[in-house]
Amino acid sequence: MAALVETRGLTKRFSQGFFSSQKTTALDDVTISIESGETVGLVGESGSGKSTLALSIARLLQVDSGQIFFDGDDITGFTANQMRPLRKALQFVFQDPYSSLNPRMSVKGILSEGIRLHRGLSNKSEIENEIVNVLTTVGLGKDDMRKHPKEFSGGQRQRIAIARALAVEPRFLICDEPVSALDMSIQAQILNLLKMLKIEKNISMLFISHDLAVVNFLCDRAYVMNAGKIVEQGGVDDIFNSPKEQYTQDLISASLLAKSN
Amino acid sequence: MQNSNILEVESLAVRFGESRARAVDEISFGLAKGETLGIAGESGSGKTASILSILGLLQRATVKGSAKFEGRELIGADNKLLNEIRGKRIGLVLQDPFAALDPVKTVGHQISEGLRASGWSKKRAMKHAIHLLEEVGVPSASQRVNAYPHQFSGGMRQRVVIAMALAQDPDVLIADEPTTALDVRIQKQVLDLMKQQCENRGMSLVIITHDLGVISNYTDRIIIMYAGKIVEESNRLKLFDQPLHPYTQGLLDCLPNLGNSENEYLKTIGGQPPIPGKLPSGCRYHPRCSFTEPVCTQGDNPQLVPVKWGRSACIQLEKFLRESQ
Repeated sequence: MAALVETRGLTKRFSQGFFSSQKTTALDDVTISIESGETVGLVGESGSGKSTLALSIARLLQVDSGQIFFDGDDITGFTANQMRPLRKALQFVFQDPYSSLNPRMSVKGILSEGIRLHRGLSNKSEIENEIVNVLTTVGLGKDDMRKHPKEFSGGQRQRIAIARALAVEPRFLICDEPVSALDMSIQAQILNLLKMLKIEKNISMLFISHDLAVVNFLCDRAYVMNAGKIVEQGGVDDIFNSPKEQYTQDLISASLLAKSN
Repeated sequence: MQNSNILEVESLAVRFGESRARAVDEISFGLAKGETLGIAGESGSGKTASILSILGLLQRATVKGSAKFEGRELIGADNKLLNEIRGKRIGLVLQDPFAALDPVKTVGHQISEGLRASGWSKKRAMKHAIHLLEEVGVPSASQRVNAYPHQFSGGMRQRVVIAMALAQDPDVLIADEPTTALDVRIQKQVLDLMKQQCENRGMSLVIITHDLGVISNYTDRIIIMYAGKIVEESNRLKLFDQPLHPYTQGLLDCLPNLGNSENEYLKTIGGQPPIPGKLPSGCRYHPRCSFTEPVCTQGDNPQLVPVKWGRSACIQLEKFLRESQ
């Protein structure tokens, strides 16, 4: 079976500082693949290249070399016009729900934009029905439609961000640290919501996190990144029970703080 | 026991601005010499406000109650007394090492600033700054002392901030979310460093955090706060084995662990923490609690009741203790 998302030898270098000719390698020959229906974790510390990889896959960032495939098509060189139908299929949930939602739009506005553009619905009541459906899925209600982001807590905002992604019926969802800005009791609610999407809606996901326990909870497989390279990959059970790389072991022992009692 | 406490907080209450809502609502706790104390809670629970108010660092807040450092009252104290204590007797490490350092001064300058204000010569203060940087594990300290904050990584910056806090050899080190802005591997190094410094110097340590993992490994005694109140006080061995408050139990259940199976969901605490000013009657946690009985919804927030190893503000505590036996 062909992979839904695949990268081959992705490389991306950033200039280091305005006047410097030095370059930082953010992605170094990164090859990953995600099957349809699969939830894949991407683990690493800040600066390891996780977010660069996610942005590159979504073509929000131009890579220096390598190829990106979506559903068998090489999308590396796609123009904005060519990407447009793919924007429906591929959605993004960002880390910080305080900066990823437009503060001047109502929830209805935020959600209807994608529904109108990507699903071609124009009938007002149809759009409203869809909004209510997707709000219900993420645990919000019809009454929330007219509110603005500032009226919501962090966890509720992240629900709105997830609803915005789901509203266009994507096949693939990239979640970049979606719970790390949230409080403990709220994190669990959002993780359960994502797990529900995985089990009941069968959406493929790339889930980025620095927290291995969270990745273990949600993902089937995981890639571990360090300094722009994939250093380890495999099923989550294998990685957590018998990590091969010292770096992975360090990450595990650090994230097991709570468990060591 | 009471008298040996270096810091004694009693009925501390904090209000911000004109609002009548209390961010911190009559909390009391003590800190013994050489003890490590963790204060945990979600954002808005009042954990940071309580500590900053003790140090007189909240500008637009009304602070009531009492906080005595070695018997001297800090609440409402003048700047003369506070300046004798802040930095010199109580060191503070803040969450974000990127914001805590002045970008246009060398780290050596910033570490030695407090010492020079206490009358040290420039040369002696700089020498001590190098010594401190060595102690907190900054490599080639004698060169790095002349470097600027932007030349350090996040973890190294937090070490510099810790060196600053340690410069005047305080008796208490307070760290507010000291590792939240750092990567997991660096978190462990920084926490190990603080713990070790406290042991070496016989210093008391207060860690404020939202991360139960941090306190479980680095503090002996633990206070859990919810909506401005202390709901539980326990020690690190008991907190995880026998939580005394349903909120603590709920928080522990929220943590994903490596034993979760494929189609398993996490137990969650429903709803959200209350907004100050819109507190529910009775126990502040009752709308989210899964054990709520009619008795929980009436009257004021329950008082803390002592048990052998701590305190709990759950009105049904006795019943839970009986059942767990």
